[in-house]
Amino acid sequence: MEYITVQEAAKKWKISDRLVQKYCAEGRIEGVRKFGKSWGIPSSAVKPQDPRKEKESPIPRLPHPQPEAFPGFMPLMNTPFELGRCVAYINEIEDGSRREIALAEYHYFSGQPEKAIQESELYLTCPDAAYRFSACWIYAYANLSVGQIQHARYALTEIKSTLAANVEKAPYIRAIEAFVVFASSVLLHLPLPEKMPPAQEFLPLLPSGLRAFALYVQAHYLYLKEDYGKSVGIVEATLSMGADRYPIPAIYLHLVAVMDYMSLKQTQQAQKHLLAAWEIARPDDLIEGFGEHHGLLGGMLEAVIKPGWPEDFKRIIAITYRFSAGWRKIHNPATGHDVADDLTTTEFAAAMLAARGWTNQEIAQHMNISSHTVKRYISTVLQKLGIRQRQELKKYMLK
Amino acid sequence: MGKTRQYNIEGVLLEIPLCYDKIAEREIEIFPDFIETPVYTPEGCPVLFTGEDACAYGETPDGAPCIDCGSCRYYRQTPGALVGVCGHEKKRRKPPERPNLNMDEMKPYKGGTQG
Repeated sequence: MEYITVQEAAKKWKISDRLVQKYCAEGRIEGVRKFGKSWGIPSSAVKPQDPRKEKESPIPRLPHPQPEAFPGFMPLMNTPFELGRCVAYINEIEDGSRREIALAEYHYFSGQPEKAIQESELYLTCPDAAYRFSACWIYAYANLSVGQIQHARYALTEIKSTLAANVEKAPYIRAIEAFVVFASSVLLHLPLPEKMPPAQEFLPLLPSGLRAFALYVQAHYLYLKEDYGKSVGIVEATLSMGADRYPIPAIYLHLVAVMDYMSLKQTQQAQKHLLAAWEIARPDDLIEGFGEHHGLLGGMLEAVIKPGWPEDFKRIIAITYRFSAGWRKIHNPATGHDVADDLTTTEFAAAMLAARGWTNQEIAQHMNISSHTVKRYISTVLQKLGIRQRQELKKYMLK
Repeated sequence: MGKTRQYNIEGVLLEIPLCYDKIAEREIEIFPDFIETPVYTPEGCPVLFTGEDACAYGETPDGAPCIDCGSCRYYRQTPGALVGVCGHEKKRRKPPERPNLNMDEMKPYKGGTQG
């Protein structure tokens, strides 16, 4: 029998000498012999298998999401309705809980929180988990907009405590719970709860429309981590895989792309996404998301929507004032972060850009105002916040 | 004239108008644009708003990029105010040029009293 050295075997098998020595010592190479202090490996010996690979379990096949398991959970968000026919679609749903929840969603996403509250309130204790979670989520956010913070807190607490409860549940129920808790925490810029399952556990169990919205939340989460490139990558990939068929998730995906591109100072890309979101939202008046995201959009609404659609812009700003006041009442005490609450929306937009290192000239050009006006906004903001220099702005701004 | 607040910025007196802000429920100072209408101290140094865009001579104490006057090492911000003075030599206003007194060209005085 012919033998080769450790070095020759290592070269043949493309591994280190040390590993060959180890295999020899462990008796994993058939026919190996010791010659003095050196190992001799039969020239016909085969490379032993990596023991770590033998222990790997096969990739688990996740259960395919059952569409009938989700009919009550955010039905409008999960529907690829035709643009301009949102209300018509809702009217075509058979009378009952699913229609009521869809209507509550429509009223919320079109900036009518009072109606959304009335419709969702009836389902806060519904025995059907899907309807109950939809109601809690809509109710929480709608109450932020009308300043009923205790009611918003109640609904958010209900959501979180259900996830924390150690009760055996169907996988799709767990997926819904995790999705709502994830969305509620991220969108309020709060830390995730301790028992939050990782996204890859619940995302695949969600149907397409809800998954698209969950990916918007994931992108928003990455934006808050200042990982703008990764965030926009998720958005672009999600949209290109058909998420743009679902109007509500598509609006939000485009809006987070605006946030990312403005952070990367790529204003043309940001504008492209803002106009895409607007094109989807306008036919059904789904303007709530624009108001919710105003502070994060870097003056884009002032630069693009205001000149083109001044009346719609005013309505969006009215939503911004209402929503952000309630949002801060939850966010600020929970995080200790003092996001400014007595600035006008334009002052806030200018201050956000200034806090990110934009010069007055750049802000002026972007927002179509004079440099003098920008300086006036910055001076007013500094006075209202009681700070002396631009560098101190960051701690009062959104991330 | 409405309410104003007075500042003494290294020898130059500024009277800054105040305007009531409904959202903040307080008076806000409205500063003039010191670039459009420059104001100088008696020593010729320009008065500037702390948030003014940095000029070409701007430098921060730690070498970081200089974005505005407030972060520049040549800027002296007045305590309790959002304005201050730029101490960079290149920004100092040059004194007006003195007339050229060429004695040969001067016509001799021809009588009469001056005054």
